[in-house]
Amino acid sequence: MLLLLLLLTPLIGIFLISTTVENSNTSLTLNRIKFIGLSSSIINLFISLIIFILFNFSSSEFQFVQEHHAISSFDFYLETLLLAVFLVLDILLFYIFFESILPPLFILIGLFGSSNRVRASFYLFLYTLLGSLFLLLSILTMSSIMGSTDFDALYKTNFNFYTQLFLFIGGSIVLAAIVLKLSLYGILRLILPLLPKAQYCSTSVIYVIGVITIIYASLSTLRTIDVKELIAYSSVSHAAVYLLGVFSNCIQGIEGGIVLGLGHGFVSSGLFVCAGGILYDRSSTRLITYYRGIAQLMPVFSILFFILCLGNAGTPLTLNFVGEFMSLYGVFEKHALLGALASSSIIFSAAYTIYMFNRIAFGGSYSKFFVVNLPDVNKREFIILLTLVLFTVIFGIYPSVILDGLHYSVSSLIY
Amino acid sequence: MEYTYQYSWIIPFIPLPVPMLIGVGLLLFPTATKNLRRMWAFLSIFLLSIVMILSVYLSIQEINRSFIYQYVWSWTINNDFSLEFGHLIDPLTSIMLILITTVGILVLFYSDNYMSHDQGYLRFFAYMSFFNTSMLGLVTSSNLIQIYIFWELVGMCSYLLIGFWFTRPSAATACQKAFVTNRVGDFGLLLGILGLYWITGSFEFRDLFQILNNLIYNNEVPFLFLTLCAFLLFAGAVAKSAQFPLHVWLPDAMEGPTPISALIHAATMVAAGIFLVARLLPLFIIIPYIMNFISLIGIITVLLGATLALAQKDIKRGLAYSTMSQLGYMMLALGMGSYRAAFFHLITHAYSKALLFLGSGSIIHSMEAIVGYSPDKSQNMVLMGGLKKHVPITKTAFLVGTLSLCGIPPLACFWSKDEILNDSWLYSPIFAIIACSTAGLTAFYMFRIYLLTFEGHFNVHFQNYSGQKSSSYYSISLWGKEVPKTIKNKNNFHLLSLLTMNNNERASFFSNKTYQIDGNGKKRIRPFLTITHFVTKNTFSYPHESDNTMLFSMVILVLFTFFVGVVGIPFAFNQEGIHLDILSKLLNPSINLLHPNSNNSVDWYEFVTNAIFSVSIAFFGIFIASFLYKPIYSSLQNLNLLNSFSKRGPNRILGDRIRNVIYDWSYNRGYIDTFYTISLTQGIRGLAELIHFLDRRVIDGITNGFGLTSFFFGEGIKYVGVGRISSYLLLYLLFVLIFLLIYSFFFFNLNFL
Repeated sequence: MLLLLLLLTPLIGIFLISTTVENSNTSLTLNRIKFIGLSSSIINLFISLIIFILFNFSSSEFQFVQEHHAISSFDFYLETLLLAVFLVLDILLFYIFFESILPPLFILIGLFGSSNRVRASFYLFLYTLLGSLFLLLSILTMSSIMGSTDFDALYKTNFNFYTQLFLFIGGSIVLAAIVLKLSLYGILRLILPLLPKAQYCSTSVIYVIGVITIIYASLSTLRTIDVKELIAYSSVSHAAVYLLGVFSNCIQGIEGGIVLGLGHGFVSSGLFVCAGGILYDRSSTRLITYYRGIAQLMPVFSILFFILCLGNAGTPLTLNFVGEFMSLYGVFEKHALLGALASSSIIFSAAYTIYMFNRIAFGGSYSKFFVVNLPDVNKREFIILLTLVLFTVIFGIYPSVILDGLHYSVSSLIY
Repeated sequence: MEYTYQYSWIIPFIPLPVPMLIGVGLLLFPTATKNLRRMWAFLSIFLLSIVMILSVYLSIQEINRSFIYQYVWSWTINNDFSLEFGHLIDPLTSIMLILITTVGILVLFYSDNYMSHDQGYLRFFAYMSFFNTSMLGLVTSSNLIQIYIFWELVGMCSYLLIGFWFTRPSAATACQKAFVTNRVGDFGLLLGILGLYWITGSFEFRDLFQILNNLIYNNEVPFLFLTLCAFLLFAGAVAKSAQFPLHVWLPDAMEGPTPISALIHAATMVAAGIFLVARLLPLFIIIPYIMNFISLIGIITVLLGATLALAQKDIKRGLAYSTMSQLGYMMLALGMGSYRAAFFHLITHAYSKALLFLGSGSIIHSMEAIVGYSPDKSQNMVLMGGLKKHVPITKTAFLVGTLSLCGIPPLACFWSKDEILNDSWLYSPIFAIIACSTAGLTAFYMFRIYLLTFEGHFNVHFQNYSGQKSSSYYSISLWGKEVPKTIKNKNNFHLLSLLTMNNNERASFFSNKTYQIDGNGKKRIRPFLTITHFVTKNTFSYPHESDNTMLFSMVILVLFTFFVGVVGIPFAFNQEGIHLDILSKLLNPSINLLHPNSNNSVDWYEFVTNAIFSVSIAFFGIFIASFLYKPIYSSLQNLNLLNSFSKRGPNRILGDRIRNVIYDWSYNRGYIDTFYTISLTQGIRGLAELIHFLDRRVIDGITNGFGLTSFFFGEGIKYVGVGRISSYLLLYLLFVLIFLLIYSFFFFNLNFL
């Protein structure tokens, strides 16, 4: 019942919005749309929280909580689909929902993106479909072997090694490629329980790829001067860290991967709000080179931004530290040398995050490129950022809330 | 008083309310909070005093009692992996606690006045209190994870504090440099912790060493791996304590306000690395290679810091390099295994250096009013000189600090440094020679700073203070009297122009600006001062002595500098053998490599000879310094002496050349920063560019190429299927032909067979 409600709420939101859009586009209706959007998101959050509380942690399943501050109806569609993906228990349905995320994303990027949006949305579409091809192939193989696509049935089967390896390659290509949190979920839901043998024996390959990704993405991050691009690249490098953690085949690593995924979700969305929602909104530029000395003008913003940056760099007392430490521990236990190399993300993340913060908030007096004054965060932005910061810090100080819930289900994932 | 023990875990959190309340206050009631500024300062000093009283009490108890080890709460992850948070108070911790709190209180007291005109007064106190919290947390940690957490927090605080005046680009770069350099060390520390956990399965200090000893006893430990882990753990300490390869952040960190330099970069934060090594000494001591390595790094840092301090123009940078050199002494002592000497030097040096920094802060404060609010000017020793007339109390305090650091007997640093030097003779003669000669260098550079600052005449009023005209009577160059700076002006090739970083600052001295003496808050009013033409100007303004609160802190530190040596004077004064030596009571000589017989009282005769030797080296350094830097016009005989020296023909040229080489080495920070810039920064930048190229050209190229190929393929196909019968016929014939060819080929082949 609750799950159905969870899925229906955004749909109702979409319905309401699409009926109001028919009317004239006054500010009143716009406000109403925003209100509907926000309230249905919040209702959704509450429903998920209720499920989280009612959840029996001793059974080996777990749901994620995803929060989106939505504005347009497409976003809602996206949210519904994301939730659907996280909830379904049939692999074919998983695939269908997985793919149906693409059109709204495509339209969102294509319509509301910045200068290079058409190209970006095409890239997204092509790369994702390329990966999905392999996923579809593996699902077909599985269903031809088993005659069913239900998770419960699949969990019970024990594929032989080569089938596993084949499926593994198919599955991991897609999952490593796309929407980052989704890939983490996909790995936890599909690869680890279904294909333990393949996962176990190809760990070193994954690790090498992961380490290369960490270093490659970090270096890419170091040279970007676009704030949003920087945050996005740093997400890639963090994603590599938590994927390594998840593949470490020990409880600490998997839990660390999940925690880092969660923490990174808070922090990077917070940073995106900072970069895109606040800085770009006020100054109409995303290039770091134009910013300087923001801390003078926007002190409150700078504090929140600083904490989020620290989270991104994995400083202790943030959720990211807990996740990163545990993931790296898992990696280290699995393979000491690659673990050591993967830990270089500590240095890199500090370097690029602090570079970004330093250039934007410190780095001299107020930049001469800005003629207008930049007002500090308003109440709405403050509350959004504060929520994310509080989540990061509180869970960072006391992560047991999350970890306790994970033990049982994670221990079933270990080969 | 069992409660004290039970609740002593609260110690680190006592100063925490201040930053939190200030933060909340600034958000909710900004004006009210700003109006209550003095109250916040009072509150933070008050809370820190509580901690001090507690820690003094604890350490008194500690002399008779074994250490406290308490578990408070945990992050349980699963049964085999749980992080237990607790606190450990042993003699080491209690010494550090007293050190941090006493220096911290004095610095907070001092900075109430020092920062009183600053916009960020409250921010400063919030940062400082948070820094104190994390530092206290660091020293009371009971396991490695806790150490790592507070270690990072200390790094974060130092980032904020160095970048306190973030509107100054150099400060912003400096804090970034400090954070990233420290992160390199943290990387090592984290890997070391993980590796150690992998070997032993514990993060707790208590269990760690026991398990490790058992493992070693049973010969079950991968020795190479253990060495590597110990090395990585040491790397963390290297970064925090500014030892040789990762020392580059410390001098740049002087961009922060001076009280911060006093607290963090002299007394506490840099001591964290020493503390970590001392804490892990039972681990390091198992591995002789690591001990040798530690002492090697120590001795390199001792020498490097001392040589780099020789020609710094900036008073704070000079002191920073001297800090680095002294930290090298401590590391050397730890590497030699004389745990006690290292800690003794840590204590004495902390008070002396805090005194010197507070003194330099007082000088800077008085200079700022005259030369302007730029660190290039107000901290520039070239512009100082003759300050002893204007700031007599600061001068006395600074002199006491200088003498202490040089190792002149009754003062604190003499006792500890002498102990380290003595132990180094037992360890290795080569190291001992280097250490002793560096003691001379220490005396030299400290007196160079002192003489340039306080002796002679006030140099702001003389035009050619930059020392370019060596014929001028009043010219004072940085290096002695007449340094032809030809090498510095030769920017022919690229490298050198990179190396001489501060070359163009001279132009800014003479810029025609009008400086207004900023008199807000200060009661004295002064006229405008124009420094356009130094020669024609007749009404000179002179620096003034600082306010009482600042002087009070300095006076207290002078007292500490005089008497803190008492805690560790290494011999019994009376025949019954009752030790006055509190330090050895605290630090039980459980770890003592160099003195196998645990008889702590040193022979008088031996002590006196050693002391005479080290003091004479120090006096030699002082003599050379006063010979070179004592202003000419103060004594004419000196001039004659100098002339007789300088008229020696070819020798003089050679001497100048050597001097120039040393000067350039020192002035350009041993070319190490430049080396890092060229090798690491440029290398990584190049690599990043390469990756950018790969991203844009190769990976995007594949996608785009795929698109382009399919596009051309489609274009090509388009012409085939246009619907003309003739083209279809042509294709038909072509394929029939190919088919026939293949068929006949196989057919004939088979025929042959």
